[in-house]
Amino acid sequence: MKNKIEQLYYHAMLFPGMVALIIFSIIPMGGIIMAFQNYQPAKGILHSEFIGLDNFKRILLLPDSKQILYNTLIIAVGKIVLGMIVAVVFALLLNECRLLMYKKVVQTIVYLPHFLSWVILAVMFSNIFSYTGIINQIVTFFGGEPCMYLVSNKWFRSIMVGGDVWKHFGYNAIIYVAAMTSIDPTLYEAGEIDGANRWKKIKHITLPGILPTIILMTTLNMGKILNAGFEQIFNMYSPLVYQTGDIIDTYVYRVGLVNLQYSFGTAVGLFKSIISFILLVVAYKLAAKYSDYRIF
Amino acid sequence: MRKKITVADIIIGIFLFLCAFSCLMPILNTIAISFSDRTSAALGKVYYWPVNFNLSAYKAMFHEKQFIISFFNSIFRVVLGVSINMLLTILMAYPLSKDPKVFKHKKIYMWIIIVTMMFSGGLVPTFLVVKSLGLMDTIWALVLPGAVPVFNVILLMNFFKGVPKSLEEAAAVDGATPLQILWKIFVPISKPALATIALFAIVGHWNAFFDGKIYINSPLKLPLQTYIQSLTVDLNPERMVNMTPEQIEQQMAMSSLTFNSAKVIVSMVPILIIYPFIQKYFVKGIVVGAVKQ
Amino acid sequence: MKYRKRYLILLVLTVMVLSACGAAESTSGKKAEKNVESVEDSQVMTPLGKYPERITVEVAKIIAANPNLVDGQTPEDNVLLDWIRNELNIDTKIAWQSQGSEYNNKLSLNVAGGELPDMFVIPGENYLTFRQMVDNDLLADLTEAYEKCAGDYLKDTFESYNGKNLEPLIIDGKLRAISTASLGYGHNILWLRKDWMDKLGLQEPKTIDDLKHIIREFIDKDPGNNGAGNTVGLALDAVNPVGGYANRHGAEPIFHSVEAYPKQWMKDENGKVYYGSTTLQVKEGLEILRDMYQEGLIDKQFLSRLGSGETEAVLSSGLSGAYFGPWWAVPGDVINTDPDAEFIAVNAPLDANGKFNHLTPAPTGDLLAINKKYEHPEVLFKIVNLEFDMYRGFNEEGNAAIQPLVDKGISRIALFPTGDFNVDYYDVVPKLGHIIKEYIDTGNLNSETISEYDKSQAERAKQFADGVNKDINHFKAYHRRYISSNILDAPENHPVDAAYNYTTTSSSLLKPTLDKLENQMYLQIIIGEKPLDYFDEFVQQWYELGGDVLTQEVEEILN
Repeated sequence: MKNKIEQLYYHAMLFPGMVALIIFSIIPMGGIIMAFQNYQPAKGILHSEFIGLDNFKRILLLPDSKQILYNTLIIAVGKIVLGMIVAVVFALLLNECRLLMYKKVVQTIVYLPHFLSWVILAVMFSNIFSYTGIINQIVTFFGGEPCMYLVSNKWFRSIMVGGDVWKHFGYNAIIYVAAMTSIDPTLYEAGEIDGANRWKKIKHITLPGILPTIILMTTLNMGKILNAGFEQIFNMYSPLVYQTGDIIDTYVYRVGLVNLQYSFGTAVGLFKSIISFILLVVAYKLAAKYSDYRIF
Repeated sequence: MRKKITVADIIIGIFLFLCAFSCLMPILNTIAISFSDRTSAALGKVYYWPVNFNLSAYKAMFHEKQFIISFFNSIFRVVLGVSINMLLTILMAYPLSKDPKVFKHKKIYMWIIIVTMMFSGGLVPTFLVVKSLGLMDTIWALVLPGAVPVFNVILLMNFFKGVPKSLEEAAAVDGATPLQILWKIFVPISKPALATIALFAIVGHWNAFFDGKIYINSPLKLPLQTYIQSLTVDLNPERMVNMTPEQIEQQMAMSSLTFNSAKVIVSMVPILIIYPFIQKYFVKGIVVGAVKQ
Repeated sequence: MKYRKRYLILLVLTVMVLSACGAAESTSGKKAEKNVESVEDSQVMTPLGKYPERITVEVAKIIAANPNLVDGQTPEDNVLLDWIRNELNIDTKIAWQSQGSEYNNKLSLNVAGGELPDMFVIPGENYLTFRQMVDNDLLADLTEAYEKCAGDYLKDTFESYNGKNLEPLIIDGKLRAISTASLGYGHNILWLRKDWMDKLGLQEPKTIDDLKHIIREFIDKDPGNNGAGNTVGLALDAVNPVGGYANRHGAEPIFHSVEAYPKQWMKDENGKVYYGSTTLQVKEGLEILRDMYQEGLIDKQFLSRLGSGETEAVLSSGLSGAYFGPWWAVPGDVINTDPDAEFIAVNAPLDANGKFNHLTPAPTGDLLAINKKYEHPEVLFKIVNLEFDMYRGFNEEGNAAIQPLVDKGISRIALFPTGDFNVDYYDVVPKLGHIIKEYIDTGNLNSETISEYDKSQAERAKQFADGVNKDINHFKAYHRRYISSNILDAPENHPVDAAYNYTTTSSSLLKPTLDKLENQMYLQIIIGEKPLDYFDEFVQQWYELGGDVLTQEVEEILN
């Protein structure tokens, strides 16, 4: 009896949230049907003509597809790998810093960019990367040629990756710093007795200590491999860098909304969701197997 | 027994300084530009110190009704949106943190949540739902579609799982209902996690710009980030053909570098204000929620 | 496990059906289509006929940033809407309003939802959307309404376009929308620093060599006192150095002087359609630009001036004294740097026959259309009639109601339910230019034909010419209305029509790639990153990447 009331309570607590999820997330999924149609606004979803997999075939045929997939992968993988490396290195440095006040101040500052929007950061980036901006001043000071980074196909992807790494490295380091603090201090003491120097201690104690965390975070990031960062790129790209900067999400936005090709846009979006889903399932299976991590 | 400072310490110190400086650099640069005159800014003469210091960008901004209104729209959105987010997150995380043996239908709910995380119907269908519910051009269109921040629910759920069972059982023996247990035991004990997800929710609402572009029709209801985003979009030369010279100039003045920089700086203020308060909690909250060890 | 799967499938199916129903409902429309009883009342079907009973119209409009709302006026509730209610018995509601590209997104979403407002704007660059709407039968037929309800002024101004601005909007004999005034004479002309030329004793240029000579003198002799080596050449736009029509800081006149028309669909003497960017003449034009850049006669850093207003800053800071731009594009801020600065506008460079070739604008701009489901398509004309009668002063009482607001700087776009939809004569710019020239030269203002705004422009231009007031607004009025407006229809002018001004079916797929290729080609050749012969490669690539399809499509549309 008591158990039943408890169950009722649980259902009731979930009810409002579930209603919101069903209305705003599940119901719109019916729109996925559009991917298999030639959607005509005047006819609506019910009466538009079904064309099977034609939209998907078009994805494979379009010359742009390869480039966009490539851009997406390069940018996303770059962000994941470099983001991990920089965060770990930064965490190590922070861990080695013995001036506590200094450490605190540095930490407080480096978390900050994580909380600023790309809308705002795009304005700042366009300032510092402009031809006469600070970056070019530094480059010319060291004898380099100034360059228009944000419209240069040579640089755009690097800036997107670098910008994202920069925005999140402090924040991402939190987890690694935490992992380091949970390493058994007696290990270090033992190392000291064996006469290990700082570098040796990092190499043999700290790094192995956080390795499971590194592996775990990297695996979990695999699911994001097709998310190259819509908000960032959308606010910083221009037609001049479509060649290197156009990713799946920006493409879907332009084709689906700006060019009114609703069905094709939906198809590309669905294509991405399916691949992401597969990757994510694989990633979680791997994480569960190797580090015993279960999110649910 | 103080160790003496070695060369390695100094190098580490310098590296950390550079990291911190790199994070402040763009902000300092933008502040300097916002206090400079238009021509110097456009010609890129401004670095860390304003050139021809003046306040005209800020004066113009505070005379611009749209900016002020959008600023408060965003504040209102954060208050309303975060309240809803927090309420639903807490309510959902608690039953979901129960073992399937205790809460029989947990798995069904989890599946729904996973599906919503993985797939989305896309922009157009979501737009149609919002529109058919009559939410267009209201604050609800900005707070309801994201009313359940799924990641936060999972984060808090994991945190709740770590709460000692004995506490709960003791209360249950005293005849407390699940709602009372949640409110009296789980919520107070989860302060760091709650502060963390509150920060996420606040930042998420404050920084969101895309939904405002889609769902808001009246300029006076635009949230701040959407408004700033619309200003920084390049002027479309094809559109300028049909404008009168006065209109074009107004547009150009609106999107001047100093003006935009000033807006960006002011729009950061609320984040900077809440940041120190929540910072002390969030490190703890993130770690516990994300990595169960 | 099995149970769970079935549950999920069931859920998804239910959801699909639900949302399908939702969409169907919205397409069939909120207003059940009444058998439209044509309003027989002859009183109503007149330009300003008042409806016997209050009707409501929902509009979507394009707005301007910072409309400077004063005196409690808002787009949703203002004097003009009151007038429309009182005079016409029409209640105007704003369905949605947004700026530029945002408007396009909103329109796109609403089209997708199958729910259009009663009256709405279709942005001019989206002519194809208009055609799709016609194909899907979403737009009302305006033919009869235009005949009966378009006012004299509207019809008069439309006639100044010789029917060109209606032709693209008549599909199968039915008028489906009307176009905003696509004013003529907005092409680029050459602007030079007059005070510098006077100082150096230079003559107005005619040919490209004259122009090069002048820029060379500007750089070498430094009349602007920038310090040796600091004066730069022709200011050029960083993104679109070669654009289409009215591309401020573009280099189009140089191309037109060798009869190249880049970025336009043109017809050759045999009537065959070709894309203007692919001709050998374009290569010739690029050679001129490349040589100028190499010699430093084009701002060496033009590529870097990407931020909004950066190219203009080169001119207003007095670093450069030469650029191409439309009649209105004078950098007013220059007087803050140099109070004695003055510009002249010149029809140069001329072609081999001594003509100044320039393009004419696309015949249509933003379109105004009515939802097929709406029962009173004629409201479009009534509202536009009343708006412009008031705005232009034909309705004196109405003008008195809104003019004070306009004078306070409130944007007309904010007040009017039709946003920035404009009604004016094709040649209004040179026409007013001549009136103001006469005023300045003889002191005689032919004020009957011009509006209050025009009069204030005339006053300002004259005060600047007389040296009474030399502030920035007077500087601009003088240069725009006196200097540049008077050379636009000079004898050497030779207007050239493009064969086709719109996109085609495959444009949305092919154009982004092609445009990217083309824009990069211009930049690369001008700054010498690629040799001139890369142009031939570009032409070949352009056809291969889909240019042939587009050419064919344009040909089909035109024939």
